[in-house]
Amino acid sequence: MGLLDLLRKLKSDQNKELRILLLGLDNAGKTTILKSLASEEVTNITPTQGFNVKSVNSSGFKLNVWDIGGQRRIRPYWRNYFENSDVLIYVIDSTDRKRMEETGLELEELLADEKLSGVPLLVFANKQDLLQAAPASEIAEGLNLQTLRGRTWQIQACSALKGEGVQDGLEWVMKTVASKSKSKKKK
Amino acid sequence: MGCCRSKMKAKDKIPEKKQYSWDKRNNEIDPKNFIIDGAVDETIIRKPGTINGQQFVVQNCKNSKIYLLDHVATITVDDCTGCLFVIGAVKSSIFLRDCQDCKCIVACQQFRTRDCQKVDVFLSCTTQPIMESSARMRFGCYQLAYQGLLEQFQQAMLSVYNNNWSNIHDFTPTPQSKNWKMIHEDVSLSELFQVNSNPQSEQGNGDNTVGSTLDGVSESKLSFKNEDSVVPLTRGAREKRYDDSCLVVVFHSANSFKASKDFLEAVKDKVDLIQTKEVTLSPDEASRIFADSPSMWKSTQRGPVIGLEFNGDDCVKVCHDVIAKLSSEDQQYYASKSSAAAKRVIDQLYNFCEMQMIV
Ligand SMILES: Nc1nc2c(ncn2[C@@H]2O[C@H](COP(=O)(O)OP(=O)(O)OP(=O)(O)O)[C@@H](O)[C@H]2O)c(=O)[nH]1
Ligand SMILES: [Mg+2]
Repeated sequence: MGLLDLLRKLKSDQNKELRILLLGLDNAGKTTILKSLASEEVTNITPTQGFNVKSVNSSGFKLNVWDIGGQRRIRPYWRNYFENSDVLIYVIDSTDRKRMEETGLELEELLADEKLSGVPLLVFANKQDLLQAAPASEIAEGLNLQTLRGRTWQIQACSALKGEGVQDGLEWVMKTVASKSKSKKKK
Repeated sequence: MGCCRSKMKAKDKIPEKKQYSWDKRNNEIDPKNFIIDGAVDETIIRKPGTINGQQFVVQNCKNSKIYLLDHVATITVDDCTGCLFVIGAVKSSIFLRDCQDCKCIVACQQFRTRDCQKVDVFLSCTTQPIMESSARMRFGCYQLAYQGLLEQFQQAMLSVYNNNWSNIHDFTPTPQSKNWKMIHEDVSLSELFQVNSNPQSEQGNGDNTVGSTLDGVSESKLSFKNEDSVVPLTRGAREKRYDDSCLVVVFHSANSFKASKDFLEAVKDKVDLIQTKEVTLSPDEASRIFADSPSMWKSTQRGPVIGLEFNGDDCVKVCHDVIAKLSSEDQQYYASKSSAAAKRVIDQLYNFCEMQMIV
């Protein structure tokens, strides 16, 4: 069965809405990715003081994407948005070497939360267009993604500003959700 | 079913390796040339054209003066003490972290600080500047000029007319005292930022001195005076000194940039410039915001308009007189009919600009 068939099947036996959580440190590029997913202008984005939510249509699905501000001060509020999430997208500024550890710790904490257990994880290694960007493979290693258990994950290099790689990440999301619901159905 | 499933998996395992633009990046550019690390007591000057839109990193510097006279993709400034930064135009964000006792001139799309103390910033920022866990911060309006700076603003996709330098959001306000204030308006940037003319201090060491000679600077006509600045000096959130206001709109044309400059030049010393905006208005928005002036709606559709908010005694008359003096045949300017009308339109226009920033 191809992707399209899977999607068609998923469409027929589920409500067509997905809840997607977009998290990551401040300045990582979450809002830029949100706007890029919605094919909107990505210049002139203000640092997020609360959250943004947008509905994006993809392959006939309505994706409700929640982009929560990443400032240290407001990270404790992230958990208020965990419930019923279908996919977690975690955004990393690949050029921010000083905060690789910080972003790793935040991700670890997220993945340890019960409400997000088993939720598929897509990591966007963002800002690949910049000179100091670490390759996605290096970031995956730094975050020890290989050691993750009980969770489907993927890392995708991207540049939200240039609009490259973002759609590829979304494709993975759709594929993962489709096959997940299928295996659920089988049980 | 099982067999279909394994088929899909097999297909997945051999994904076509997609080529992205960064996979094809030319490796001749050495990232090390775009990092200033550990400078102490140095003056470092990067002349126009030497950064050319790349990302830049400054870290672990002490008592140094760093001039990045170019457009930059984005910049992080980490763990610096007692330093001075002059940065032309940053296309996306500048992020200051763990810095103390620094002074900075910068134009950017986003301005962010975390864990900073006692930093003075002369800022031009397209969006609302933010700070977190930072104290004793002070903000003033960007004042800078050198040859090529205006072109650098364009390359960084910044408008010299969209500046929110005085509208700071503090994520960690303290109840006892405000973490930031505005810098006194009389402070002289020239005194603070002038390149030291003592040639000895011009020479940094090793890698950091690429393109750093005093010649380079005088050649590029570096100036911190408000009459030269590419970004007009605005009072922003400073207390208004007069009752009367006026909004002037410069319609889009091949020389609207010059038309705005001419206007600002002509009203200088007569009225205060409070704030400026460059914005594209749809027909609906134009007719809503300027409901009382249908004759101007059409002109707003030629392209982005520049709005200039003035404050001063007899402000409306002063502006109309200047328009009469400057105007050519085709309509180039509009000014409010009265101070009351101005205040209403200004509110609507700013509300609209803010709405545009909301995602
Ligand atoms: N060069 C480059 N800049 C990017 C990219 N993605 C985002 N940016 C810039 O990075 C800055 C931060 O982007 P935002 O989208 O505001 O980041 P955020 O994660 O939403 O930040 P918070 O709202 O504070 O949590 C902006 O100036 C963007 O223009 C990218 O792929 N490449
Ligand atoms: Mg944001």
